[in-house]
Amino acid sequence: MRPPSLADWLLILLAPRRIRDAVLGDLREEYSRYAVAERGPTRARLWYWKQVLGVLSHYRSPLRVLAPWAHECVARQTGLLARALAAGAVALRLSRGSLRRDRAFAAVAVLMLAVGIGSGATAFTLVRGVLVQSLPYENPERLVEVGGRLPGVLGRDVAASPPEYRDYLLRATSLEDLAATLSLGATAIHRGRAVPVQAVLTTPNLFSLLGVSPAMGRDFETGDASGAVGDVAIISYDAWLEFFSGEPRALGRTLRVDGDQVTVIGVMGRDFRHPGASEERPVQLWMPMSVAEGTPLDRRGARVLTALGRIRDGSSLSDTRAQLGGVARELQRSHPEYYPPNSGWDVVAIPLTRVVVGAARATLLLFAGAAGLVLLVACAVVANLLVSRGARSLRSGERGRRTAGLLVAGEGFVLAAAGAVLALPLAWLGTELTTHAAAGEVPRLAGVHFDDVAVWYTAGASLLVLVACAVAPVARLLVAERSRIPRCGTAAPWPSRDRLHNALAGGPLAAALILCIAAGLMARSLQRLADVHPGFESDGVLTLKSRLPVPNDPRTGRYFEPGRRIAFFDRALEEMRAIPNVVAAGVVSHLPMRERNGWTFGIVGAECRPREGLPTLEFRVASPSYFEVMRIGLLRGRHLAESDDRRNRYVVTVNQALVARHFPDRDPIGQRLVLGGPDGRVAEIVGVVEDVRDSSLDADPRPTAYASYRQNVGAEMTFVLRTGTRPEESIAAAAADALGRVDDDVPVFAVEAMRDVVTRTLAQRRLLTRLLALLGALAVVLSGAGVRSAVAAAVEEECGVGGAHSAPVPDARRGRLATALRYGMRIAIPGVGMGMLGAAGGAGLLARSWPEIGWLDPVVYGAGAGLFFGVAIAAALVSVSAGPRHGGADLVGQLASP
Amino acid sequence: MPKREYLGEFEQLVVLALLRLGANAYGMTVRRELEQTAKRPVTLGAVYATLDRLEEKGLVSSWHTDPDPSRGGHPRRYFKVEPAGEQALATSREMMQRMWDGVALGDVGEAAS
Repeated sequence: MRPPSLADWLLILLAPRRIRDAVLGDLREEYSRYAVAERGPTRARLWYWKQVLGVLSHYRSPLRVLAPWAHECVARQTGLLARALAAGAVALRLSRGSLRRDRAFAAVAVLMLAVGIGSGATAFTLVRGVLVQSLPYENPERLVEVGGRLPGVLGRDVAASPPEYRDYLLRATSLEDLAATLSLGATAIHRGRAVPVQAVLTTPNLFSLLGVSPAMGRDFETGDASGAVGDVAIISYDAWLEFFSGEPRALGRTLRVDGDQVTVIGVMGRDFRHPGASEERPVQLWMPMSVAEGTPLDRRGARVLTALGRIRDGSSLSDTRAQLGGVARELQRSHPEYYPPNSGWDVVAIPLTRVVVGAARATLLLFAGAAGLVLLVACAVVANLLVSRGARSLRSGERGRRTAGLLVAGEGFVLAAAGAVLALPLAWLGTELTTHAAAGEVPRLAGVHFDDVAVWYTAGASLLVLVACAVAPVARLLVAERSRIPRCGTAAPWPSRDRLHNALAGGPLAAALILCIAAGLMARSLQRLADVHPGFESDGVLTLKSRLPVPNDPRTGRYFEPGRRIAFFDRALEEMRAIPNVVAAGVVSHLPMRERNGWTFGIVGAECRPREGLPTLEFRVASPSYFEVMRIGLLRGRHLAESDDRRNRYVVTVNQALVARHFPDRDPIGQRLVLGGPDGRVAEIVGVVEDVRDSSLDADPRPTAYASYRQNVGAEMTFVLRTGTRPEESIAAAAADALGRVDDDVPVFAVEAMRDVVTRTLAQRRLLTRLLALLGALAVVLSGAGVRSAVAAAVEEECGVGGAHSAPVPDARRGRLATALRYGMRIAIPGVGMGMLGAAGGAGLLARSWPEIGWLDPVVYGAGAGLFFGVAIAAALVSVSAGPRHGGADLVGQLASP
Repeated sequence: MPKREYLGEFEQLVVLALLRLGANAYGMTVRRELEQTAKRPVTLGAVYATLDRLEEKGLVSSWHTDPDPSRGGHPRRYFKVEPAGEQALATSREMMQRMWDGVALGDVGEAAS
């Protein structure tokens, strides 16, 4: 692990030459030999920074490097640079004194800027780490996922069947290579225990296509996949530790997977991740497969493969896309039964980074936008505070125009620099907290750390803040001063009264309102979704998955005969029903909201209507008791029954959505469907059940058909158990034991309460809502502080210090209050107006990713406006009740007083 | 007669670390020795600044090795205590001993020692 390069660079630049090399060597040696092992990577980096800063502070701080030269220039007082430096020195001296006198103000301003810069740096780090930084493969920008897109079919956006894969490989010449992979669960036997493993079957060229090779052993060769699936495997680093305790002799040893003896030929490196695999279920095992003609899955409709391609050097993504478009049209002509006209069929290439990041892209970009707004709010508020301070010192006659300008510039410089320094730990903390909290919801987030580039970004952002806080207020102050007409004893048209100043003070309010409305809209839509009935009752349901072993040659498997699979699930259900507190037990092939299974289908006797494209449905195999466990009601006809077995005709029940779309004016009972393409099985509809939201709470139910497991049973099924105990997971051990009594070679995995399955579908939305709410709250506090200071300045100017002229005290207080409220509204009205318009625009962006958000929800806009008028009024009241400090000093300072 | 050198508390610790480490005394080992044996967290900058000062006074001497690839191609700077350094250490110890003679601490001192 490399030490922070920025720290090394600083040392090389600033440390005296005579100690530099020895110090660098010592630090390198201690870092790599001891610091990382003793402290862990993050603390070791901090330790390194501490050592480097320690060396510099003993030998040569940057200021000491600059000081002799700067002092000389200042002393000579010649030339523009010398004048500027002299002015800078004066500004710093003035500001040091004034900020020392008013530490509360300084602390609050530094904190504001640190929060602004820090949230921006956090967002930058996350966006860079997840969206920008390249994937850990060779030339990752040339990697694409290639597949057919047939809306409504399968659970993924794109997929390929073996014949389609061969078509793409043959005809898309802009692709240098194309690998096909198939993810599946498998069961390994380890120390006599069945362990579920996440496996990937792949054509032998996967690793060479990605440009990676095993850390130990060899890559697949073409001969490894001579059968349908080869009997060799490459395992992940973690699997190597788990199954072989990290022994180098693991190579050549065998592992029993799904009844087959598989020889380990390679171990991948610790950091290798299969493209697109989730952090929660990383791939542990790769086995070679063949997708040649005649292999078991060689059907055009079996779109189960993921195809990963590498674009040839000299070709571009658009070349590949154009070529694949041509392939799609050719296939449509040659196989109209699989790709009917108007079915929306297309073949696409999606950059791998896009595939890996998925929906998190919108979340992160919106978070970055929101963090940018918070930074703007912080800068604007601090700049306004500085202008007010400068103006006050000018007006009081305490300082001249030039000195006041220098004071403001110096204060801005010092505050921005201190804010930037404090922002670093805040940004580090923000990054660590976010990556810990959301690693399961955002791909690649677990590997994101606050690194040197983030420090550079923070430095760059701080420069902009410096300009905003040191230069802008001076310009503003001097322009305002020029237009000022000094009239003693009258209310002078000072900045706080002009429209521009009000608009400036209102700007942060507007930005904060945008954030709050965005958070409010997201929260409201979450709340609405929480009330949406998914079509089943998730509370009290435990789900657990199990998978029967399927050897490479399925005919040799114990569960090859459907009758034996049915018998297994029958016995397992019996055992589970006998568990105390289990009210009902069922089994289903694809759990709603976790797995999808899109199929095409036809209606026997119905005219084919090609314009409508291919009809699709979700196909689920379930036990009759599944409907009882999930409490899915019957609308017409009958439920699936125990008597629907292999001796009787093939029947299905369908949901209301299928009836509404395909049998709007006919009785669906007795109709027959052809399931799964033109050569699929024919099933008769015997009942209509209630709709279930199958992909997430915010998506409409899709047409669905259910068949009985006694008529069509697979190897991988999910048990659903209804229980009276909470938490539902408390019966998990008993359920695993029950399954073990039937066959201990069958593992139990993915144990989860159904409630959690439902909740997870909204994870991205919930994450963004929380982030927006957090940033919105920060922005409210910052902008409220800004309004309070602007109002305080206006009151002080119009009513005089303390309002203690000749007027009696109560009258003076009333006058101050009226003035405060008037100015508060002058700032709030344009601020809220701008904010509402901005929020409508921002909500339009949100609606692109979350269309059902209700982006003009009047309740949220009303509440937002109310909140901000409330903030303005509260800020005005606080500015009066606090009153000015003795000697006409700083109202603003009291902002920070407890 | 040359002026008698006294060492400050941290200087004494650094010279003692050099003597304990013998031929293996360079920046990193000195820093770790102070941290592990004297239980005093210290930065490499403080160690080098002290060693440089002692070298200027002629109490220690140093020399560089060839660049070492395991240290990113950087050399080691080894340090050795000169006779004058040993003398200064002894003088400092005697001075402290004289001051300690006849001083008895209560429980605090006992607990701390």
